[in-house]
Amino acid sequence: MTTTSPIGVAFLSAVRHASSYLPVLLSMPDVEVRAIGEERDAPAWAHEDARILGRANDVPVTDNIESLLARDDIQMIVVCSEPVRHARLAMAALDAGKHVVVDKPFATTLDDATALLQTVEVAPGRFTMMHRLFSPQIARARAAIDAGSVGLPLSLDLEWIASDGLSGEAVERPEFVTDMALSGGGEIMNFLTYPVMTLRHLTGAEVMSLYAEAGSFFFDQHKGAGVEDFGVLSLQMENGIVATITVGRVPQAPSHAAVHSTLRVIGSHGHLTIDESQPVLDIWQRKERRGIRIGGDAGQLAVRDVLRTFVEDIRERRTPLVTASDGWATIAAIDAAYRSIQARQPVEVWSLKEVAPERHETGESDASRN
Amino acid sequence: MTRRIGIMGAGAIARDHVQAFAGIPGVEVAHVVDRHPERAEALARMAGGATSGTDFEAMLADDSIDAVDICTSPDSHAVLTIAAADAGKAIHLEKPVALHLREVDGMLDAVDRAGVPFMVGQTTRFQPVHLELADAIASGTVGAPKAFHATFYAGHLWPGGWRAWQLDAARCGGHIVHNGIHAIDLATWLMGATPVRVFARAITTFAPGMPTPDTFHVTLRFDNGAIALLEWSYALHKRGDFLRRVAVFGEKGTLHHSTQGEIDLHSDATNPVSIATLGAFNNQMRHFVDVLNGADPIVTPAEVWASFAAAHAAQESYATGRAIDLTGAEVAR
Repeated sequence: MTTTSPIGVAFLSAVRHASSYLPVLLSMPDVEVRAIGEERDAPAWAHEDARILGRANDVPVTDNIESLLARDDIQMIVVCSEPVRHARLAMAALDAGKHVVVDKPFATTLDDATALLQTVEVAPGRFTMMHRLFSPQIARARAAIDAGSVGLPLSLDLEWIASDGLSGEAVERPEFVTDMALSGGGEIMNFLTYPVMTLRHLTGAEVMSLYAEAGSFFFDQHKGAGVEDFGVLSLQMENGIVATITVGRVPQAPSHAAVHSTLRVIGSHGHLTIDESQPVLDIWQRKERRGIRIGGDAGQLAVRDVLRTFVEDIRERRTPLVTASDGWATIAAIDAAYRSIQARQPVEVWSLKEVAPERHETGESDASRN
Repeated sequence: MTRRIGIMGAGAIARDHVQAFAGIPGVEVAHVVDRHPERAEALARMAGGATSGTDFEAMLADDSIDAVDICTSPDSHAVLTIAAADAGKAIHLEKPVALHLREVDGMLDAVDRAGVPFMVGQTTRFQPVHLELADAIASGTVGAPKAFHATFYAGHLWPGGWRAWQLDAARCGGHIVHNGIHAIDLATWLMGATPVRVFARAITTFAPGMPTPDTFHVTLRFDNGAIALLEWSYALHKRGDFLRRVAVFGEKGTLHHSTQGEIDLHSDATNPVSIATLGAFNNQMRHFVDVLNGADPIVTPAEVWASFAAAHAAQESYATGRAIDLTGAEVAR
């Protein structure tokens, strides 16, 4: 019988999704959550969130990040701040030799994304970010495509639409998705990661150019802050593949789930559709209709599997499914979406080669490690 | 009083129209004109008691004909519409309204001048799901509509082989105009606004030599700020395959319909058609008869202009790779 010592985990900032990530980690037998750290000069509400989460789960809280990152009994860091701090905190943890999982988005500017990618490439620790590719239906679509069941994918349409959630059910503080100083953008910054990652995962192709139309249509919070709550995108990918994305937040999306996520793939020899909220057990009562997703909520399953698999990746010294290059590509698409909205024209999505040519020539890619 | 209809063009769409008229009281197909006499005669026989010929001018001169239904390919729409209006006939015109925007101006002027009832057959509006959608929007159930997403996928349906006029942009205006106009008109109608910016992308999937894309999508920005994403594919693997989805995102909620799960029939014998889209021609022609009897057409000249201008801009966007801003006279007539 072999025994392995548990992996020590700390949160670096614990706002936003920390309250849903922490229980997953606490439930894992080979993981110990040993600290929650928040930066000394972070706003009072961030410290308050850390204190509340720590107290509720018996996890010590510290504002001494330097000493937290210097601890030998902490190997893995979950960066769970508001989006604008993601890249900086992740880089600090990587520089300290830790394995890092960062919440989405990967970064909020292309410069930050490039700096984070370059840090990952020279850091000893492993890296991944939050994603939905382990969601059962997306995994199934990928398997069908890999099996050749639809031929070569040629045209894809994705919807990623959240239902409200601004009053605390889904978004703890609306500012995290509306205040540019915290969020770095509106719902495109908040959500476009998911459909873009799915597109790249299913096709194996990069997004080359895109066109976006967006605006603040539904929520006073977004209108007041001047950020978009909804948008549509047209994408040109490699190999002549085209794609469309509908993304954002509406008062009520057509789904029982918190997020309405559907996908259509037209291939050269067939087509497939998925709805992430399916399969559902319907519960009919006289005045109420509810649906329970069979197997659990797709989003929660995906979070669970990202964290579980990353711990295994660390133990087995494997390359995670989603690497920093993938994260960088999502930010390149988000950056292009905002440039397109501004220019009111299609724009090129920057490639790593264009943004960091020196890295492309000499850098070691995530995939080539191991 | 029975209204007597003259059909111009005896192709596939004319057959659908003749069948639709057959079930409607107060109207009869009286005469069919086509440059191929045998096709005109065959369709006239189907209409039961109609006469047929090859001379459309003679039909226009016939005082016993109240209205014409123009079912020819789009390259002849302008000439025939203007001639029919000048002859004082009420007009039902198959979509798209014409080939070029400049033709539409002349057509709408001729109809205005003659004061004749005029309606473009935007059949998609008359599909049951879209009539319900329009009613639901009008009732305020979901508040003001702000965004629209439509998915129109079908198995390949390309009649006529390589000779098909649908493959010839010079005759059909391009695929984004010819078939794209259905959803562009639908979006324009449902959003109650005029498109002011258009972007399109398209690919050809199953037949590399095809001179027109079989799969395309369009984004629209409207003058009230609303947006739409419309997608079409005529490239599903199996002939007869069919997937339609529509979603209207409003300030208070969402309207959504999908044909998925409506019927699940697996057979080589037949392809089921969605009930949500059945009976559109009949609804359309009943409405046209109402128009003949004095009702306002639900397809207004302003909408005809706006959707056609947007469809043309989409075709241009596909050709140039640029988003097209519709300005001034292009936006509204």
